[in-house]
Amino acid sequence: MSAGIIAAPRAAQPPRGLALAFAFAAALLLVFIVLPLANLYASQSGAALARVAAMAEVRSAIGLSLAAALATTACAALLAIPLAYLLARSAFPGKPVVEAIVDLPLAVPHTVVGIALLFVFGRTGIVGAPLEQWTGIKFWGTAAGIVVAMLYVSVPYAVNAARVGLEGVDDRLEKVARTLGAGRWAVFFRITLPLASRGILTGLALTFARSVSEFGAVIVLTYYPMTAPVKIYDLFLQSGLGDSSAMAALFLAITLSLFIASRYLFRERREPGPTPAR
Amino acid sequence: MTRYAHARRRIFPFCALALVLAGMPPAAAAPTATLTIFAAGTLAAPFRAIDDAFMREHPEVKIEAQFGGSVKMVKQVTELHRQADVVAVADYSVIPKYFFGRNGGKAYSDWYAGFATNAVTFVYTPRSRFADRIGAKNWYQLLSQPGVEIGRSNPDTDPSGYQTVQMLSLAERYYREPGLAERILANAPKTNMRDTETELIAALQSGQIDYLAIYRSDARQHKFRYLELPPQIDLGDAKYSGFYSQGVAHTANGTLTGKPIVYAVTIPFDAPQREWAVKYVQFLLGPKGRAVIEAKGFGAPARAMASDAAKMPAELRSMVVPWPKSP
Repeated sequence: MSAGIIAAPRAAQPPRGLALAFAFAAALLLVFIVLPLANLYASQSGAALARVAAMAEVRSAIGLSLAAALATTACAALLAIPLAYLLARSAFPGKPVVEAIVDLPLAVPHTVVGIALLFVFGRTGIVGAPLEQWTGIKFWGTAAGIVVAMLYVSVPYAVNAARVGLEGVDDRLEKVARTLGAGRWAVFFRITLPLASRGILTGLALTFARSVSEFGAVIVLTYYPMTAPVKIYDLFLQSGLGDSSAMAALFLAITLSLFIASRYLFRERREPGPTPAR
Repeated sequence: MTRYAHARRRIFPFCALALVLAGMPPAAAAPTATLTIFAAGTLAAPFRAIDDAFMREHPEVKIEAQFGGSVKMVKQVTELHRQADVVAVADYSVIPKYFFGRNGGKAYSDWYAGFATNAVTFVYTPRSRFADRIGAKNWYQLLSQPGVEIGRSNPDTDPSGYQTVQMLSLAERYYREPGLAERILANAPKTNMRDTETELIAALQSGQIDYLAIYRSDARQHKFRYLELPPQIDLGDAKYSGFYSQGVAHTANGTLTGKPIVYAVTIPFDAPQREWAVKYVQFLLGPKGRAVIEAKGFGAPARAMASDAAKMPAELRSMVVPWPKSP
């Protein structure tokens, strides 16, 4: 999103020296990000990948990671969009405090998140105890625990990206729709939401990516059933670097292709316009 | 600039003095011998205390102790050819298996002495379900109630994991309650299992589980409430070896039968500091060593149990009794 804002004015070409220096720094950064992952793949043998892919526990861990991250993303969408809307559209006392609270999970170590969530959602926690008593839902050693841990660490991305998307919506379009007789809910669902969809979807893609890669908070709440990162750690401890890095490569291949596909999909609508009224 | 230079000049003498002080030999006489000890990880707490006490008595000795899994520590000697003066393991049978040169391998020792025992138990907290009425009489009935959450370590990878299963199998025979082990283990599913039971202590303290199967020494060291199980089933008394062997655990490594949890010590043939090693084992088997072992929650038999007293160093022979009903 920010890339679009910077690129938009397309002002005079920057001086050559600056461009070169920046290009060098940029290339260095890209290499820094890509090299370790590329190296992880380069050091894999097809046989190791096949052996790991054939393990039922590995497959179920990857499946659980994807399913839990998807459920987390759905929860994030439901919870983050209303808050993002309020932050984008209204001024209210204490707004900076709310903004700081939204970013809080980014600053807390993930093991700390896990321990803190355990106190609240655990079997004797203020939320966990009544929930288990009334509904039977448990958060220790269950998929529900995984989703709660993922949601806590990833939801800031959903709120912040959705907020940027919503701020980009021209409120005059909403006012026009109102004058044409559309109710507030109809305007939100048929004008605002579609126009902000790119920001929202970007945020949800980041939420999914953060969720699927979460380890520290998840392992405190739910060691078993194992998500993919926990299983990779388990393999690292039990059977060494060979199997764990093979599973890491396999898992990365799946998540990265999902991530790249989502980027590609959301880029399609370059010029978002209001959906034609049906 | 000049001000900084001045400051540096003022600091310099202090730095020089600090360097001189750091390089000075300590006031006490420097140790002249280094005693190398390889010991099981569970023994870290008592051995650190015993090592300190021994070094206070003998300042001329410096003890270097290494702790780890029993088999790993033994293999440091047999495979990595590292020389140790004293080797202590959590499972006495590890010493004859790896050190006695069976199957034509090189022999590293021909005796061992069981100097400490442990037992399997369950720890719990005041918040645990049935905490107010559980006891030695009714524990197996309460632990098999639906809804009780029990933690344990993995029987496929951890001795304490299969020893817990063996203990429950023995309880089934002892209380004549068929199906007891299965009912209790149903409350300890895979979600409540880790590779080492101590990983679950936080889960017990935060109330995610009600009971945790653990060694009695850990229960006492952490000052947890724990169940006093009958010695016939808790694997804590070598005189019940015969009955223990009827306790079975089916694991990924085959069916394992119960045996008493006895910690054993030996001195390898090629111990570089043989004399000091004998003195150390004397200290360990003597009243001071036994007091520490007990203070750390282990059982310390009145006399250590020897596999073969005749093969032990003469100084140690009077400190041991024969192994009860040799398994």
